[in-house]
Amino acid sequence: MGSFLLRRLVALIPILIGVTMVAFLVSRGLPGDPARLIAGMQASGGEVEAIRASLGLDKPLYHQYWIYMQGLAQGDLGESIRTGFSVVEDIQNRLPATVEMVIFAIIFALAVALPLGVWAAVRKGKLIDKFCRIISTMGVAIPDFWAALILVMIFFVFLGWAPPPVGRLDLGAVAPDGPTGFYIFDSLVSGQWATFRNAVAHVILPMVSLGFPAIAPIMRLTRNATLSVLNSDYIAFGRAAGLRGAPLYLKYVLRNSLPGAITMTGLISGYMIGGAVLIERVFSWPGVGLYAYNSLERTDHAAIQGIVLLSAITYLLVFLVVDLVQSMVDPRVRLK
Amino acid sequence: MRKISVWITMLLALALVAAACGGDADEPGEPDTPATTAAPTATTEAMDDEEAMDDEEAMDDEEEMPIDEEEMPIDEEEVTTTAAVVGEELAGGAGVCAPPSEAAPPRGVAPVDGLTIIKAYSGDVPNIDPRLNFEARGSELAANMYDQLITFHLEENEDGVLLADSTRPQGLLAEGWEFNDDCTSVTFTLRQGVKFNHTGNEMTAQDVKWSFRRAALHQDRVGGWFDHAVIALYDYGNEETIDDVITVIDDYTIRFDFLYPTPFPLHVLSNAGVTVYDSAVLSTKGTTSDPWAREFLQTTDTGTGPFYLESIEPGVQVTLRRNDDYFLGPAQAERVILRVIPDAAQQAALLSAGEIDFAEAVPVTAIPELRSQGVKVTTVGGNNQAVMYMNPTRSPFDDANLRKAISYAYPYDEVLEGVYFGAASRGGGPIPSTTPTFDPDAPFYTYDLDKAREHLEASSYDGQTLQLYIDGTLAFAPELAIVVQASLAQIGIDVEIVRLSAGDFQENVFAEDGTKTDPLEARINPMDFFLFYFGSGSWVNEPQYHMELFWEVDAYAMRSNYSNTLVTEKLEAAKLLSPAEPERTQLYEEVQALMLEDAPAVWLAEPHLIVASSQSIGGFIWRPDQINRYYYVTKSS
Repeated sequence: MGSFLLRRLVALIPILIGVTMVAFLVSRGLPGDPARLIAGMQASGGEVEAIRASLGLDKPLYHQYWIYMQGLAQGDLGESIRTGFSVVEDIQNRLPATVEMVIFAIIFALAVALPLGVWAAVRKGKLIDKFCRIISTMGVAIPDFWAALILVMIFFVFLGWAPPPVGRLDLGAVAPDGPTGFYIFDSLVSGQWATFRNAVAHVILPMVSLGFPAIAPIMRLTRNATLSVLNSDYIAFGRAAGLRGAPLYLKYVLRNSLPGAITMTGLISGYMIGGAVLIERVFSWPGVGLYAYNSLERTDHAAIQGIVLLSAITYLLVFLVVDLVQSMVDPRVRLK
Repeated sequence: MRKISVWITMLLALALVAAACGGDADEPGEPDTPATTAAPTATTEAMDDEEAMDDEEAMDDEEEMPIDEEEMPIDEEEVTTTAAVVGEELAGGAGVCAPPSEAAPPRGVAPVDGLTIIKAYSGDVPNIDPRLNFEARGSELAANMYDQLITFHLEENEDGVLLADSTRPQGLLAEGWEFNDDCTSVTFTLRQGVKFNHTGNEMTAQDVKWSFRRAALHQDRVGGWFDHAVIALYDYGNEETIDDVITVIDDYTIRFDFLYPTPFPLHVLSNAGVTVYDSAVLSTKGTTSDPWAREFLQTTDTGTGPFYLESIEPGVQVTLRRNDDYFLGPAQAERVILRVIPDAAQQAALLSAGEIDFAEAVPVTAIPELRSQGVKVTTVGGNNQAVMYMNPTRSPFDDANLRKAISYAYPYDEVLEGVYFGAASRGGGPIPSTTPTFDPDAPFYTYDLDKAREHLEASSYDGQTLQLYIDGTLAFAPELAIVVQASLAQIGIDVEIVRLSAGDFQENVFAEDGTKTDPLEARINPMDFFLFYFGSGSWVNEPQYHMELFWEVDAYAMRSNYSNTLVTEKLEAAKLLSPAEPERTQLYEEVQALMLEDAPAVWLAEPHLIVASSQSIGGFIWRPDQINRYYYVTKSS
């Protein structure tokens, strides 16, 4: 396992170098001149040139890329022209917010999809199966940001049960001290109970909105996998041998139907990190999705490159974790 | 199976009902409720110099009219007003370059501990260094954390909005001023005992000079750099001469020498970005690569303003804290929280629920509903303009008849209700209707399809598709583009709308060929036909400033390549006259007529500033820069 991990991590390096090249070229190819945006409309052409030079944009592309890679080797992703902060700092500030929301959304989606998927397979063609099919259709058909708007309207505007959609904590609430930037975890370990309750209350609607569309694919996969497992000879044998109820379903059926769901969950969580932008917008969630969107709008090269790199790393790490988990649940998978 | 179908039908119905209630209010749409009332023009009475002087004499320094809550009635009705801060501008003639300072600006309302004002921002909180941005949010922070030399008298209108009267300058950091005979030099006497936030250092003339040098010589020349040039402290490219034109006479006296006189030095010196920094702090924070302490000012402030920066969480919120030692007395609110709420519909929901006090971006479509929920929505008409340019140097727009046909085919009045829901005025010419010298009798275009067809027939237009470029992120631009497309279709012109990102749009508008020295030749904007929107067009509500910015041949923001020798002559001639001279007004009126005849643009509308706040809020200030100062904002429990 150790050598497998090491090999996989080393293999990431050339992939990431490739990603930096693509990100670099793509961000340079984006329409819009950052120097002009900084200068504002009252600046003359000469002044824009001066700003372009100060940003290094007057140098040839390969030179700009070399400067970028030199910085990258030292952990410096450059400075965002939009926020004025270093991109590393910006991402550090925003990533925990998105990751926290995504983790809860995944937990929510799995908690709903796995039991329902198994149940629907076991009771194939019955009411619960049809109910699951409706849930799947809705999950696929309803855009997450729309679900978010509806949830806010029902639970905040009409019922007043949910806290206002103003981000991770109430207005005026102070962020908890802690090492991770995950407010729920940090407030829990430091015993700041009021902040903990506040953070949990704020994460519920984003969690449901982001997690809801993920329920459908995971549930469908689980259901189908469970069906084929249920029809297999070894389950027929298990039944004949007297296995019934939880031991049969949890130990033999679920475990054998999980691999597909795990791969799907990995894919979805990678997608969620980058695709949470609309949910972040509705809930004023200060995450990387919004940061990426705003940076694109302002042709903020350093920030865009940083975000693309972050997304690539996220995907690669998620796939690594998926492989590891697969090997744990499926003895047929061997790590070589 | 039938039961399942019923289930599905019910769920679909539910979803449809919810969809009908919950669309993003940003979306354009036909109004299904009567729109708000059109803007009556409630103008502030123009005062002439003599009146201003009398007023000043009648005022006592100590008994300056305190602005308190009783004086700022909160109007529960729909509020629509027009802030016409007009007047006989700073009168010149007979060697008078500007009226003397009125007494100090009034004190704010007594402080209330624990009082917090919360405003929703639609986007990230940007650069907080006042001299390094023009952008609205950064400027709002600057205007509240820093002070300028000058401010303007505030006059409360019938709707409870405090209008800045640009005919009545007041000293803020400056206590008084004296111009020389030909208005090329002004000596300011600075207020004594003004302390910088955080350090308690006293503000002196050295700080003023250091701050002006920073704006002029900083490598990222934005912000105050333009302001200095427009009042002729230096010519562009010769910024080093700033050292020769600002002279520190003693700690509390400083002289500015101008290259030539302009009518608005005091106006410009009141702009939010033209601030004074604590030079004792900043001169120690500079480094070789960052001599002007740019990095230091990313996360902190060094101003004398009524508030100072308490905390900044990028992408989340900025918290300002009251300066209890402010030289005019402390503000009422202890804190001002500026919170990022990106979604306009959520801002509206939070405002209705009383969670926030101000919303930055309330969709106009939501205004009637918000008002019915008790939210105070005030629309203030100012010098904003939505303009559609036609490049007269390139085919097919080099044909004046085509430009006129397009000008006649646009439904000027319908748009005010249909697109803006009443939150816009007609305007219609190069000079905004709230700017002095605007001519209400100018030969404006009207919606007249017959005339449009006549001009089209007389033109050489060959039926080609016209591409209308817009910045798709700009409020109302997509809606206006659709209106233009539909109206031009009526006279047989096919328009294709090209939506660009903000960055792409600006790059095109400002595209230049660096090898050409003639500004007209250097402009290579590939967009012959494009919509542009001046949000808070000119920060100085003055025709010379406005035309210098937008319509002179070498103007910085003039990108459609319009030029007319006669117009240029008249604009130059007007610069030699004092604002009080009727010939100057006459010249600007002639310019308006000439430009309407040339039709280099269609002036689509003058959008109002929309201020949505809770009913408990009073003391909102309107200035031409449309940047609010929270010092006078009050909140009743």
